[in-house]
Amino acid sequence: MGEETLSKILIGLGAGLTILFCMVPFIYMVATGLSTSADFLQRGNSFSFTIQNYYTILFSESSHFVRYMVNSIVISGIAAMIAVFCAALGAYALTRFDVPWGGAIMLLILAISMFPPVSLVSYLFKFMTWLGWINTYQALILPYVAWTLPLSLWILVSYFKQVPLDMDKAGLIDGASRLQILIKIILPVAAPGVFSTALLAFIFAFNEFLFALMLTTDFTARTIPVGIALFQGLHGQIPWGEIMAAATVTTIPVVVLTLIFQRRIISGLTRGAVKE
Amino acid sequence: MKIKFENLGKHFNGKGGRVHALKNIELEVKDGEFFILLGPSGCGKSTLLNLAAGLEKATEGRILFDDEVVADPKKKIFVPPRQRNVAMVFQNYALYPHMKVFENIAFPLRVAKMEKEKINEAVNNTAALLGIEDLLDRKPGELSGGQRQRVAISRALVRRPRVFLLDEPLSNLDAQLRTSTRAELKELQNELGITTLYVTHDQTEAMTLGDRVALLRNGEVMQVGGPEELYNSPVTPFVATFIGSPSMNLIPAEKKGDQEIEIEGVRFDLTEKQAEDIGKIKSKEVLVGIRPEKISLSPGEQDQENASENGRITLKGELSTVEPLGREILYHVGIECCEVLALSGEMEVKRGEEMYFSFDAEDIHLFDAETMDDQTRKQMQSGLSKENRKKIKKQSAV
Repeated sequence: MGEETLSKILIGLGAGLTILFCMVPFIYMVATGLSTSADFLQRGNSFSFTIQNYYTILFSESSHFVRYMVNSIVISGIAAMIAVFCAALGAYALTRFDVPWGGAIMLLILAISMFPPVSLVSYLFKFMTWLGWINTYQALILPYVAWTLPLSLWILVSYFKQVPLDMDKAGLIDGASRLQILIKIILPVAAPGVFSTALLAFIFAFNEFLFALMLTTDFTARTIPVGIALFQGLHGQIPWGEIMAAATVTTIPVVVLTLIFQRRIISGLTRGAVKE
Repeated sequence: MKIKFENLGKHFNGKGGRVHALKNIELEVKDGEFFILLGPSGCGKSTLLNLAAGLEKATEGRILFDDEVVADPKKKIFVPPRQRNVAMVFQNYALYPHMKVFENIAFPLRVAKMEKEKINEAVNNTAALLGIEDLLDRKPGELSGGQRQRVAISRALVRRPRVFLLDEPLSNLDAQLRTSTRAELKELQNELGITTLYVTHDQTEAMTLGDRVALLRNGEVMQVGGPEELYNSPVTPFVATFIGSPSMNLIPAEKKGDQEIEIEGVRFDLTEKQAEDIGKIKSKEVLVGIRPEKISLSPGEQDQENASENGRITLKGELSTVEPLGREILYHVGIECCEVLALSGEMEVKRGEEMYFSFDAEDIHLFDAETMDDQTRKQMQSGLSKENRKKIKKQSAV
């Protein structure tokens, strides 16, 4: 066996093991959701296939799962869009204008994003109560925008930096306003960055637990992570099958979004903009 | 349209303090003129173009388009680019990569909210003018450098701007394409008659394209005039060495009275015009400028006694380098002070051999040695061969 073959086998083996290591929890989740009993891995138990768990979470009125899903998608979607738009405005200014202390501003924003959410949540609860917004979409959208904004800004700044300044100059000469330049030129040229940022912001908001737990009281605005955590059986037992089925369904929007935007996320869109 | 720069200045507040990018620029570009801003990198020529476009704000002076003041920091007047109706072509083209060629060209018209039919007509007409009708459905990434350049020019021309600004538009093209595009640009400008400001560091481009040329250095205008004027009557050593390729030789000489000068021990009479020029130079040290093509070379022994007969000066040197340029050969001949370049036909000579070179006294240009800046001096010295540099060091040590 040649050295080359050996190295190929080792690389393949390493890659396979890494993938397996990452995928085991996911496979276990899908399997548990499709099994009649959660402890099918224990000695003496066997796996018996059922779609009852899925049926229950999707169609039983008491589970509110579909409502949680809609809440999550709407709240995360709106939060991600607002965050990316605001971050784009900020990133444009920071990369295009001579902002005094621009670097310091970026670091300050990063520092703010490092605040543990748990330290903010009690005041946020008081604030939202005062506004009368507890258990509404906006009670979650606003904190999510604030929470995902620093990350979005940092990513967009790095993408906008790669868009040549001559593109702005060309836009200005062609008669466009700064906002038109941002929307019609910079955002499309930096599209891979914009889509990945939006997707990341969406996933962050979609997975958020603490604010969602504290700022919602029932299914009107409750999101999936909280919804699933609060699943309970009739006599207080934990319905693992249903929880796992719900978790599996929950991954669908994120997977679908990634697939839709996959082509957009692939970089190389700036090819031909300027002479390299 | 006429463009006038009045006492224009621009400074930046950089990390190392205030940087003067432009100082006291006084220029007038005539209506329909092809005007070249020429200079080495960092001389401020692109900044001046950006000021004309409205992409940067001047810190002193005024800019006038015809009689309209478009920039006057004192009176806080600043007309933004979109209201100036100028068009610009960038060095790296700056095409919008996500738009097809048609949309790229149509962009300025769409922003101006022109009617769809008119946009179609204008884009098709401009594309036809530049010969890129069959590229309209492609994206910039699918085009060659030359094609992208044409798209960039089309986008600039589609609005029929009042002023056409070009920032080193040919520097990214290969040599052959550059020559052909240069000719086309000249023709196009002639045809359209739009006042054009063209930035370049390439003196050949400046000489071939420009109706007039302004040579800039360190943010100041060194000389303005027609290409021949800059070539034939440079006012400073910098202009003399920057214009022309290979550049003009500068040989240190000494004034001997009002009519005579001495180079390397050879005295000769000046023409009336030269005597008049030298009368204006106060210092004793002068620089004699002579273009390489005005020098004739002859190998072997020669009588040095008649070194300045019949208005022709002959000097002795040593051949240090031979550079074949194709049609002609560039000979580097080391003399005591420096290295002299001469263009000539093929000769049977070897490196290190003694050579004689001669030129007509009436072909020389005279400059005050004190006006020679450090940069030109360095350039002059860097032309020396190692051996000559050693020789000079030795001599100066003695």
